[in-house]
Order: sequence, then C-alpha cells, then structure tokens
Amino acid sequence: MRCKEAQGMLADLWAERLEDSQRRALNDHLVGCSACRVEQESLTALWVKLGALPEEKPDPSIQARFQGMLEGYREGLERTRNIDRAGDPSKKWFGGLLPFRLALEISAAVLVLAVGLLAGRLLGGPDQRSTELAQLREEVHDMRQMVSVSLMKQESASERLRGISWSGQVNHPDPELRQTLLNTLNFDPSVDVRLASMDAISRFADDPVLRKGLVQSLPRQSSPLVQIGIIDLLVQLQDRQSIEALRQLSNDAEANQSVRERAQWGIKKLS
Amino acid sequence: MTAISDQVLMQSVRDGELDKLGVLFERHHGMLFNFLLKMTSDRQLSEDLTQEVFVRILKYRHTYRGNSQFTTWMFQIARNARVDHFRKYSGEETVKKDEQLEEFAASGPSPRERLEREQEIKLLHGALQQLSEEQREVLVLSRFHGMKYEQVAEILNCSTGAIKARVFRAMQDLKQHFNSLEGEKVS
Repeated sequence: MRCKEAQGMLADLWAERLEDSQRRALNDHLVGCSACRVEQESLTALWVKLGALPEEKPDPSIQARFQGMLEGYREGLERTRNIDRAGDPSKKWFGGLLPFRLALEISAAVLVLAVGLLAGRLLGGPDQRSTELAQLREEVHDMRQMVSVSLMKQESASERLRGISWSGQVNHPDPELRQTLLNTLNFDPSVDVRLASMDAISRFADDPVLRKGLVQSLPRQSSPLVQIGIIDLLVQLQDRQSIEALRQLSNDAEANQSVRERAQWGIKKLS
Repeated sequence: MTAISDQVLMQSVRDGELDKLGVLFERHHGMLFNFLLKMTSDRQLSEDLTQEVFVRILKYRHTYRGNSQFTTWMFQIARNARVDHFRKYSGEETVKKDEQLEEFAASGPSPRERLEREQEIKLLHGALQQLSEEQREVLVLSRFHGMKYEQVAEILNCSTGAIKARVFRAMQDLKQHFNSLEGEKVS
C-alpha cells in the first residue's frame, strides 16, 4: 500500500468504517512507514480531542422565542382566514380577475412576437438588427410584466405565487407591477403569498415607491411573520427613514410581542 | 412507545399541523445551535440564526419532499441562512466570543488539570476558527454531529469521496493551527 492510499483511509478509520481486511492492510503499512504512523497517531489523537469538546447550550429563552414565533404565525394565518370568510373589502382587489387563459394567451403572444420579429429582422443590416433586437427585448420585458400582473390577480394562491415568480424576470417594474406587488403584500389572504411578494419587492429595493410601500405596510400587516420579515428587510437596506415606523410598532400594545422586540432590535441596528 | 420519525412530523407540518414543528425544534435546535456556533463563534447570532432556520422551515414547508432525512434539509437551510446573513451584514463586525469558552472548563481533580483542560479547549476552538469555512463545516458536521459522510455529502452537494478527502485535509490543517497556537501560548 502506498502512503497516499493509507492517508485516504484515515477518514474511514476515524469514522470506524473500515472493514477488517482494510484495517489489516492499513496497519501493515503503518508498521513499515514511520512518517505515516506518526501522522496517523497525531491526527487520531486530535480527532479524539475534538470529540471530547463540550457541547454548548443556547440561552433557555430560545424555546420561548420559538413558541412566540409559532404562535404569531398561527395567529396571522387565523386572522387572514377570518378576513377571508367575512368577505373583507380588500377582496375587491381580486374582484377584477382576469381569466387564466388570458395569461396563457399573453405568453403565447410573447413567443409569436419574438419569433416573428426575429425572423423578419434577420434580413436587415447589422445596425437595424441591433436596434430592433433592443426593441424586441423591451417588448418581451413588457409582456413579462403583464403576465406577472395577471397571474397575481388569480383566485388560486399557487397561481399568484407563479405571478410573483414571473416578476423575478423583470428588471425594472412599471407602475402597474409595482402597485400589484404592494397590493399583494398588503391584502393577499395567504401569508405565504405575502412573504413571497416581500421577497420580490426586496429585488427592487432601490425603487423609492416600493421602499416607501414596505414601510407603510408594517402597521397594516396581520401576520407577525410578515412584519418581522419586513423589519429584517428594512434593516438590511439600512433604511433609516423607517425608524419612526419601527418606533410606533414597538410601542403598539396590540402588536405581537416578538414583533415589538424585533422592531426594537431594528431601531438599534438603524440608529 | 416508538417516537414519531422526523420525516413524518415534517410531513404533518407541511400538511398544516404546525404544532408538530415544536417537536422538531425540541429535538434538533441544540444540534443546530452548536453547528452555527462553531461556524460563527457568536452565541447571539447563532441563537438568531437558529430561529431564522425554523422560520424558513415554516415558510417553505410546502417544499419539503421527505425523500431525504429531515436533518439534511434542515442543515441545507441553515447553511443558506448563514450565508444570507453574512451577505446582508458583511460590513458589521462580529465579536468573537472566545471568552465564553472559558465557562466550559472540564472537571478534573486539581485546579491545574482544570486549567490545562480549559486551555486546550480554547486552543482547539481557536484552531477550528482558523480553518477555511469549507473545512470547518465538513469537520463540524461529521465530527461533532456524528453524521455519516454520505449525509454530509448530500448537505454540501458533493461526493462522499470528496467529503472524506476534505476531512483528512482539514484534520492536517487543524493540527498545524493547533500546534502553532500552542507554540504562541508557550512563548
């Protein structure tokens, strides 16, 4: 056995995975090779020491924090279910539903447009082609926004999630997409959809309208999980303009305790 | 009474029984905290990230497939959460909590032995922190959490052979760092 092969067996030796025949072969090599023997002994001793390192325990409050988070999430889910059952006026937001077929038709139109324009323009000169390709890209980009907006207005939560996912293909949202994302964040009956829209908005965080919308969304949210997500995002963006909103939230007796604590943490991070 | 498996519990959470996540938290938060602590050396951050991992488990529960161990999925989420945190807050200083390690002096019959053990623990932690993240991660998962190399390979998305090679090289480097820290203490 060569030294390299012996070295390659040490990880298995430490994990006690070597078969008897392998162990014998390794031992035979170590008996005859002092360099490998010394290395094996010192590394094995270190492996043993590592295993004897004491395990550390988190602060006992971690359990209570987790329970608070879970309660808050369930509370949020229950509130949105109740709103849904009561027929909240915010459901008007979903009143203007576009049939899903329209989204499919738009997607097909994008494809036909792309293929048609490309085929037609290939015959033109280089300058003409590059201008028209740029136009084509813009048109495809606009179509993507339309698909995203129409999907976000569907009845099914999974369709709305798809719409949010489509917005990920957009580089610069138009006013309608911006407003749709904010409306979804504020009024969607599904917590998961609202969380996904928050993630989508974070991609466009340089947009002042969306940034302002995030801050304004904080007191409106019924889900503590979404509120905590927005607070974390505002801290990540170092948005000092949100300090006042965070202060109001931390003093709001009606707000979930975990949310209030997170708001206080956010204020410290931004100050 | 046989305990319900992690996979079954997580499938229940995915299907709407959110309470069952509490059992998974109870079982695994300690291990998760220790992994994050060895990777970050920051207790407060490790506690925050432990919470964050369970928030993400809740948020993305509908994506749980159940075709691998729950802990594999949990550690994949933990790795992403840690990376996302440092991507967001890369400008912040993280305070190394080396002084907290002094709390963990092993018991021994004499104060001298206790002191020596305390020093050794500090040196080992110091040497671990000097490893690259990739090496530290593979050692923490395979040595401290007793995971089989196959599971570590799944979490880190590489082959079992690569994991074993990394473990060996990490131990070689750990030895070098440990020796040089020991030398600094003596001199």
